[in-house]
Amino acid sequence: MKSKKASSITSSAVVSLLALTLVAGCATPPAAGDKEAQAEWVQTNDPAEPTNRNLHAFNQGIDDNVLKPMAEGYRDYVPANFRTNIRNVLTNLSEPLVAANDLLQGEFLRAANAIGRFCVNSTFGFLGMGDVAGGGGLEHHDEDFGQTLAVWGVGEGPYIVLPLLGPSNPRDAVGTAVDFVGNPTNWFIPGLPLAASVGKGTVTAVDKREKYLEPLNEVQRTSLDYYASLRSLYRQKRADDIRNGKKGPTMPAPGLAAMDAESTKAAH
Amino acid sequence: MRNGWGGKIFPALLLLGGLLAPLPVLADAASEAKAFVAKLADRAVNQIGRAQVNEEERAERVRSLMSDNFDIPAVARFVTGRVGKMADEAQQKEFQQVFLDYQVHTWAKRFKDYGGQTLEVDAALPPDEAGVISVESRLLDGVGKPPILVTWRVRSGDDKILKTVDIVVEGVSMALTMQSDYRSILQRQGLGGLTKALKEKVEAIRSGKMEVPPLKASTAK
Repeated sequence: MKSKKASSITSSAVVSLLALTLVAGCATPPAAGDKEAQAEWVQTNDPAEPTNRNLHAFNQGIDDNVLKPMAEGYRDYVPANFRTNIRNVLTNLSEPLVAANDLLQGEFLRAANAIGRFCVNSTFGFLGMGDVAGGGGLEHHDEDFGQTLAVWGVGEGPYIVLPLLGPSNPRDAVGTAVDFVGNPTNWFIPGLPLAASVGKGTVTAVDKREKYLEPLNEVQRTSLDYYASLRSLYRQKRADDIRNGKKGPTMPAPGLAAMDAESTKAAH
Repeated sequence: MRNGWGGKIFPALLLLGGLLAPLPVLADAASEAKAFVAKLADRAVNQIGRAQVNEEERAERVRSLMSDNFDIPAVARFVTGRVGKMADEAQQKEFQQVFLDYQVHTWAKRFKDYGGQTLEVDAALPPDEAGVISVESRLLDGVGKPPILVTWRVRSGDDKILKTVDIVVEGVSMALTMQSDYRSILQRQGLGGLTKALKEKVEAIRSGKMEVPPLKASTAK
């Protein structure tokens, strides 16, 4: 009985998600003659915007009702040092994958750093609960297969919003899938892989949401169009992560001066 | 003979001088930009963050800091894009005013519970093709927390006075993010619609309906 009810809730959620996705479809590109509108369209790079907005609303509903309250509860009821231990364990479990992606990107020093962290923290850090390596100057860094693909020259493609997972693009979506399958810590316990993955996935999601409680609240409160702000933030942050924080020629130049010159010309 | 040598050396010196001359100029521009950011940060910390003044006075100080150091008209033009450009001058002026108000009141609230952060200026990159110099800095927030990387994008206008045109926090440009945020309301309701929406935000901040958390390293990360 119970399972029947649960499955009917799941199926209705799936049906409404499908409906949301199908009803919306694609945005209409601007007329070929309008150069500025065309440039804007290319810059926005979001041809499935109506569908994406619906998926964003769907994700937002789940965030408001489930994930955010869980993250707030987690912060309120779990002491800070426990939360730090949990975050350290999760970070430690991600190190082999970080190291693998570093190697695939030819970043050997960074790979050595991740491997070193994993060895030190898994042993001296009591299964990763303490960040002994970080205290010794081996700072953690993130890396994923989406970034590896970018380093290999794969373009991001259009913006997409994934159900539950949020902002993405075809390149990063493939990256997420490869990371999930390729992560040894996801197939660590052979007997109960599903339960372990779901458990770890939930803890990871809640931990990550807790980390971003303030910044996301701030973005949501200050922006006029939360969807568009998230889209822009996601893209910029990914570009920065791919460059590993280094300044590159791809640094988005607002072109303020160029725009300025144009508008001055227009005024005269 | 003497003539021959002089005839060769003199142009050679000129050529050399011509090659070397732009270098000190570039270095000057970079160090000038670094000094500009350091001075701006110092003024923000000492005259606003650490000053014990009432809300109104704080807002006034933020306003004068912004007017002196930020190219608000240029940023306003950038974030409103082609829709802004098509609007008439009165509408553009009104938007600039409201846009500045919005920044002023947001930052006045952020500075209210100033937590003692300091800004350390690192390096300045040579100007790009648009004449914008990127000044890199780190926002330090006491012990333990990793610093936040802040890049100031500054350039001098026709009056040769340096002004900030964008702030990039950990790779995220404020100008680009605002441009993206404003685009759909601009498309649907024009510059007037955006001005009205921002006015409402300003009112919400002033009346305390919209909370602006104080400046903290963890909130910007």
